[in-house]
Amino acid sequence: MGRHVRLLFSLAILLSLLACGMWVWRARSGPPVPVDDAPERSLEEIEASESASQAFQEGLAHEADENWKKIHWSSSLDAALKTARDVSKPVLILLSVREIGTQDPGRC
Amino acid sequence: MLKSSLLSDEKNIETINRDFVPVNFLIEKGFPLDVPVPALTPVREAFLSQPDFRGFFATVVVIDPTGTLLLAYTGRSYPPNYKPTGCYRDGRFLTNIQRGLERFRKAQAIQADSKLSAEQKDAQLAELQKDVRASVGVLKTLKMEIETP
Repeated sequence: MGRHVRLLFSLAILLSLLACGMWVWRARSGPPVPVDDAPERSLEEIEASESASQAFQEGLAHEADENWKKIHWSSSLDAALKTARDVSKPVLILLSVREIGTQDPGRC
Repeated sequence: MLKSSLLSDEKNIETINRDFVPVNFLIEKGFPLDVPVPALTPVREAFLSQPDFRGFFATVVVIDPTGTLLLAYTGRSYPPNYKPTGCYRDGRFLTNIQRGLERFRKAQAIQADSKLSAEQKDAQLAELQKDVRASVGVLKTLKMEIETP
């Protein structure tokens, strides 16, 4: 009888420890983090997500209007500033990051 | 999708070619500038403040020919949905760059005004750029999230 009580007591302690461990683990992992509140991503992760979006990009690029080539783009920022001083006009700058995996690095 | 949308719009192209000197500047790692352009400092700081921008960032800004005055910022385009967002709607884009042109003309008038002291000119030029710089500053606190176009 005494042995059975000790066995049951040990089992109860084990189950309590297990439950306690589960509770701590859940508390530490917290609820699922929404995408928009996710911590900052590494460049590798960013590139991976861009790669996933590439099909969407290519779909848009396929139908892209290429009229932008009619704009009289200056060859460099320095050249644009010099021209702007000569003709007394402001400089309009398209700033973009080099896109990964596309033929046209300026497409954005 | 700036090039295939707003920068391919005939009305925008006509305005850009007539009133501005356009240039495409590709941002390399660290946003180095070959020539000193203080007007781009707020944009550079905002860009570097968000690691996600290294993967996706596109915007159009207007500066004066000396490279010191930031005269217009048109918003930015970024994923995850790749759709033009914020100011990247046709009317607002054109309005923004036209405001840049107006600010340029005001800046010219301020600089040419012989009645103003150097300090007064600096103060008026700072006031002229205040709203634009504030808009760019918002980029630093931006959360990367899907926006409703």
